[in-house]
Amino acid sequence: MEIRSKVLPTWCPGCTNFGILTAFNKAIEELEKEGKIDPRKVVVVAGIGCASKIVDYINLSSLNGLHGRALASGIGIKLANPELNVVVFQGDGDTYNEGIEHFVSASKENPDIKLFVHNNKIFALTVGQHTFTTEEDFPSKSLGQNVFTKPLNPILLALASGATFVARGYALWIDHLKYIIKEALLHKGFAFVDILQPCITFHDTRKFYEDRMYKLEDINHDYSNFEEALKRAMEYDYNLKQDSRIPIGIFYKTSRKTLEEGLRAKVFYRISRNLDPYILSHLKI
Amino acid sequence: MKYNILIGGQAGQGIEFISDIISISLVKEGFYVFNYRYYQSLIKGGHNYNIVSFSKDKVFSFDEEIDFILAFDQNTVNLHKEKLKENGYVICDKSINFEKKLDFDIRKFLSENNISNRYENTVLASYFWKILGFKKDSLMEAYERKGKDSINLRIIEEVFKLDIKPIFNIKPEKRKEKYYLSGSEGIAYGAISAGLDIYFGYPMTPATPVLHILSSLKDKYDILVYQPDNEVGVINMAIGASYAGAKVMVGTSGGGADLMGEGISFSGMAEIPIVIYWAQRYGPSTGLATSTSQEDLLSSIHIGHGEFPKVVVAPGDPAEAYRRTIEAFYLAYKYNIPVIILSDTFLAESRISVDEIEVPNVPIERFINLNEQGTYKLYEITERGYKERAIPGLNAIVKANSYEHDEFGFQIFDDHKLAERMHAKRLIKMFHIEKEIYRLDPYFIYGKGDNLIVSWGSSKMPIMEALKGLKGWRYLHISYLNPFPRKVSEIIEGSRKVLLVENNLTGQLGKLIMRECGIYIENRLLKHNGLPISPAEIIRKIKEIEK
Ligand SMILES: Cc1ncc(C[n+]2csc(CCOP(=O)(O)OP(=O)(O)O)c2C)c(N)n1
Ligand code: SF4
Ligand SMILES: [Mg+2]
Repeated sequence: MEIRSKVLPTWCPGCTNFGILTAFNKAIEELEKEGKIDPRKVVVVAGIGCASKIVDYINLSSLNGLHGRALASGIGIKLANPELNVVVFQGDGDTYNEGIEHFVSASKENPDIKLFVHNNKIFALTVGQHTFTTEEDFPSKSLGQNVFTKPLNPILLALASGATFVARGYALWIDHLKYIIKEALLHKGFAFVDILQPCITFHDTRKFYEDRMYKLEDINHDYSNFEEALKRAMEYDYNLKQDSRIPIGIFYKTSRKTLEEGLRAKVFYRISRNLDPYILSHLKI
Repeated sequence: MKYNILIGGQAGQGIEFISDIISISLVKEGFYVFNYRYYQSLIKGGHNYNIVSFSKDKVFSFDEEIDFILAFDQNTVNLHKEKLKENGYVICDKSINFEKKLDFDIRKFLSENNISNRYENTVLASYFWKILGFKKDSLMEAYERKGKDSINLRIIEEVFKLDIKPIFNIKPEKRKEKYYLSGSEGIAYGAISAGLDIYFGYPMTPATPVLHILSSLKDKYDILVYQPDNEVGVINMAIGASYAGAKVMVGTSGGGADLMGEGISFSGMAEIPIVIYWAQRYGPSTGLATSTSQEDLLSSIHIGHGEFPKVVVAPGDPAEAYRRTIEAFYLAYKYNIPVIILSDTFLAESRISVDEIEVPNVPIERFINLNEQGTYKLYEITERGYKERAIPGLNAIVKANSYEHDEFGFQIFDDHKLAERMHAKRLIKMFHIEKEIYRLDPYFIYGKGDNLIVSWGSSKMPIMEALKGLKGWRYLHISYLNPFPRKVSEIIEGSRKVLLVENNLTGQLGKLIMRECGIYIENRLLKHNGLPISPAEIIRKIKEIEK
């Protein structure tokens, strides 16, 4: 199935979001070929921002929701029809600012849905204000001075909140990203991937990342070990320090009862319900 | 003859429970009842009370002149003795002081029978039942219905063995089956009857009882109930679930509804149906959490930015809550819009007995097209503005969008011609809905006469009660408030004297009538202290007008 839609992207030419789009489409195409996913059962959900435009470029059912709220809508979709593969794309503003409560609660409640965050450390669509993952000393348009607060470490937050799959990818290392996305799609439970996605217009961090990234697979990181995951998560604190080393790959993976299992969700549209005034007899005296 | 029983004590003393027992027992003795609950936002201590009114004729509301005060503490007597009628009595434990009391040594009885003090309310209820002159059977059946342990039944047996005179000798009526339900039960059972799949709610008084009732029924009726992180999560989750094909309702009060505003607007734009149960409480902000009010009429009509179609319907009593909830689902899912059911503390917490519950004549459907291929035109511009939606997971690709979009659901940027047509397409639905609601009894007229009381929502209950004693007055009860059934203007204009009754300070229905019909109603009874309007207040106001 052709996953790319006919819509012309309105991203800046050369935007690293194209890398995420390519990696995702390839992941779906491959998983379809491998017989592991039925694209008709995939629903992509997005918030608002440059990141979220992605759903229009994907030829799958989609819900383009509100800024910060796509994750909540994604959980709702899964509860209404647990047979669907629900994939949520959000920006860092969506996820770590506007809708941070949904990020923490999804990590805790473990719905079987996937969250891919296009983390460009900036509100890009609103032309360049700092987000909660912007580094110190960044000259933000909305602050009138440089950022002076410590950035949030979303990998650490996800681990502390109980996410059952925690990973970081890089938008321009497409094959590696595709591998992470495939693993996330096959994970049963809440899978979270923070994708480093330099905004080449407002916050170009490509060189900084590329000089400092290494793959967790290359050091034989044991992603079933929570302590190790925490250690690796703390290695990079989202500030742009010269001596930073930035691990990418899967930090942690475990399994736990999913939200829809616990709530005994069903494919609700298939239940045929008729008006049964008999139920009123419970109210009779 | 109508009797009013005030049952009062501290939170944690089981006041609501015992009031329910007494109400059910009275129905079993053949009476109609109305059970009003007043409670405070605390868990132990303070003061709670219920007023149970009963009569052989239909009872629409409680009165404030009390025949019996069932006092579980001294405070109840101190607070309510002014309401006691001349021939009224306080029924209580020996330790409580009042001249006109009929008392019983509860502690002595309990220790003699070796029963824990927790059961003091059953002892007092049994004593009360005996002096009223009723048989123990009705009371025992009520306890059995509530599934309470056998110690209660033993207490009733023992109290009835004692030599207590049936002082009041009230004659029971012929027993006849009745429905006995609260407004919250009307909503919850209405939702189940309408085909509810999922209920999302974050606790907020007075909407919480619906969350509890549906949770208790979830396995029986194959529904899912979930409490998300907050109300923003609630509404956005609900929209996701509805998009994926479920019939969904959310519940909250004003504060939570405000948080949902953006989501309600999203539902309107993306044309994803949703039913919102909005139970009003007193005041702006956190207000008086457990007190009643009708302050959110205009804010419910206007909630959500931008222009989009929306229905607001306000049932007036628990039986009407049942039918309006079924209609709300029908309208939401047929037209793919948000529908708000507006209730309040008084309606949610009052229990009433009725002979019949009307079931509206609407189909219970999902309005989903399961047989489409390719990219579905979810937003096709049709003359009617609406069509059956498709859902994800089948053969069609279904793209829904919170941005302005084309017919397939793709975001548009600068096509203002298309934006104009899309905007109109959504709003044209209101025109069809307005026609449709005339099939659904958007308003009722009760009584006979040249003069007219106009109101909405839970104020229906005291007005119906007041109407019993009024000559020459009719009551116009308006249930659908958006779209507004403008035909009511003929009824208002055709009346001699008109009185507007509302549980708010600014006369919000009055403003709405002004705006929709161009009629200003001068006579107003507006109560805004957090308590429901009483029938006596309405009668007093009408006497004043008639002078
Ligand atoms: C409730 C709400 N607040 C603010 C906005 C304005 N807004 C649109 S996109 C955006 C920031 C997006 O940032 P991010 O999620 O990081 O996405 P990016 O554009 O960087 O990809 C903001 C603040 C909005 N649409 N809705
Ligand atoms: S502003 Fe940045 S993130 Fe947005 S499209 Fe342009 S390069 Fe990409
Ligand atoms: Mg961003």
